[in-house]
Amino acid sequence: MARLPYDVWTLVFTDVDDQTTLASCAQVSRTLCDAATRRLYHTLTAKQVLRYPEVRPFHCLYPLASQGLQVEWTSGSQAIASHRSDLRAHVRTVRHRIQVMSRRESGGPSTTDDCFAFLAQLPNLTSYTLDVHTTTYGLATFIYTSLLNVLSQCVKLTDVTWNVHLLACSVPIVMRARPPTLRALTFSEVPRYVEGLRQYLLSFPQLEELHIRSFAFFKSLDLMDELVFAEGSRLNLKKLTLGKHSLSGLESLVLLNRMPSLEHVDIEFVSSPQNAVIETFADLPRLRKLVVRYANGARFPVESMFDWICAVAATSPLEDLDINAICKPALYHACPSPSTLAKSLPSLRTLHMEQILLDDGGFSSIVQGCNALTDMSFRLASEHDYLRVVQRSQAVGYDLVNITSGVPEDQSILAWYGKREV
Amino acid sequence: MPTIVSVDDSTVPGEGSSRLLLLVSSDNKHIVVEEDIMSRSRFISKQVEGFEATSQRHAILLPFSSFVLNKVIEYCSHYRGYYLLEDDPDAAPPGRSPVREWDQEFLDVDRNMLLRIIKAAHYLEIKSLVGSCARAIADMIRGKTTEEMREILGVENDFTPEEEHSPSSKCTG
Repeated sequence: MARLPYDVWTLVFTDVDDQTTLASCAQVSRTLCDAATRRLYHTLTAKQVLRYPEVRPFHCLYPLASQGLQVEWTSGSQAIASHRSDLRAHVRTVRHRIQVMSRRESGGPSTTDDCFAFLAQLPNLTSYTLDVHTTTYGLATFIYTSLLNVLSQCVKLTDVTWNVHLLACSVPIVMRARPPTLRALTFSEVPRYVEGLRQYLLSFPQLEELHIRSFAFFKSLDLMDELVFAEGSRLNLKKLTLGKHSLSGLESLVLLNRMPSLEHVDIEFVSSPQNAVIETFADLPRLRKLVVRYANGARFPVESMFDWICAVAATSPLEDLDINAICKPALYHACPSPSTLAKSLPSLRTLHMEQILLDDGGFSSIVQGCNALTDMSFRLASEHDYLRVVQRSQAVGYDLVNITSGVPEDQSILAWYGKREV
Repeated sequence: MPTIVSVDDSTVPGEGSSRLLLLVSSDNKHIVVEEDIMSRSRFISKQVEGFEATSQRHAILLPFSSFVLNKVIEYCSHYRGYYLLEDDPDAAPPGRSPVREWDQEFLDVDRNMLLRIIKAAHYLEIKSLVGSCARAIADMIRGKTTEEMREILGVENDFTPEEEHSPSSKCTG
């Protein structure tokens, strides 16, 4: 039987994703034990039950030291927390979930510990994700301040994701700690009382990715003030996600154009940038992927948004474009005309516009104009176009990959096309 | 280090648009293959660079059988001219091996053969093939017990009895 080199085993275990199999591998032989152990402890999933004093009015006044913590590690990870400190060096990723319970619900004695202290003991930690949902004032502050202080000690940390929902946090939280190597920061929600966010973000000159899924209340207006209108405040982001904000269409364009380094943008337009001089806001010379979501409705005439997309595409190496309505159904006839779109997007590889109606002529203009296109989806303007579109697509090397009956009221059909492999 | 023997230029033409290489397997079979096909192998590429530096062309002796070597050549021939991210020395490593339908069919072989192919691919530094084999091996051992894995992989238990009965004292990496 062939005896495999150590680094081949390392690669094999990269493809094994269940801990039970890895644990079995670790008991096969010394070589496999070594390679499997590294993988076994690469990603740590920690679930903590935070037992808090009884939830009652003014509970934020209770001393935080009285809260108790119990840590439940996933199988195979128990050793990290106890007697195997040597295993900590293997940990690269931590997925951390904190469940908040009142002591009355949980009962029994609780231990006192710092729920984030273990992070500082992981010397090679590069990626950290926190999931926590709480309505408790004091606890929210405690979580932010403790975690930020600990994260600043993780010198190799590059990715942080905060899935933190602090529904009733009334205490201003100052973002202070700065992991020195942070490259990507993701917030599921920016809470209302985070102060100095701009200052915090600008303290990471190396930050490449910022993803904010949602802003609480009017936080996005503050961010706009701080990011856009403050002099000299430029981030060198490559990837940006902005969802559920309250910026106008024009403000959104201003924000994007303050960051010419952007390569990947996923943005929600809550109103149309219809009053903007579109050409002045198309300065995104490195943009390769653009995802536009829009809140369709009376306040959203799509023409100006499409004009902006075409203007951006004409000056950037755009390869992937996804245009999607947040509230469906909202169908538009191709806007701008497919021939204009095709001229603007010569380097496009994927095009998804599920709310846009195309007839066979429009389809033809796009696939002939966009030579690099390999995948696209759209909605057929009418059932009568179906056969003609299929024939045309076959002529230019496209196969219908999937077809879905669309919205009942207009009998439109969602069509997915993929270019045949050469 | 591979063993290199000098060869006659008439056996291995060194000029022209499609230069040929002579590969010699461990069972002493001589296989002539176009250099372009084997360019996916960083090991072979380095050898060829060495030839160019010394202006001498050699046969390359490889430590695996012609049966395995032919499989590797079949793989390289299939992907001739294709760009595969894993084989790009300038690209960041992709992490998990991507799933390629053709590779799955190609690697639908018995486990001994699979292990020999991955070993050969590792020797020849063909990262895309190593990755696909690794994925196939991972699929093979997923959900198996320790004893079953030893049987599948042909690996002997080299733990001492004390280590075996005390998991915490096993090696830690």
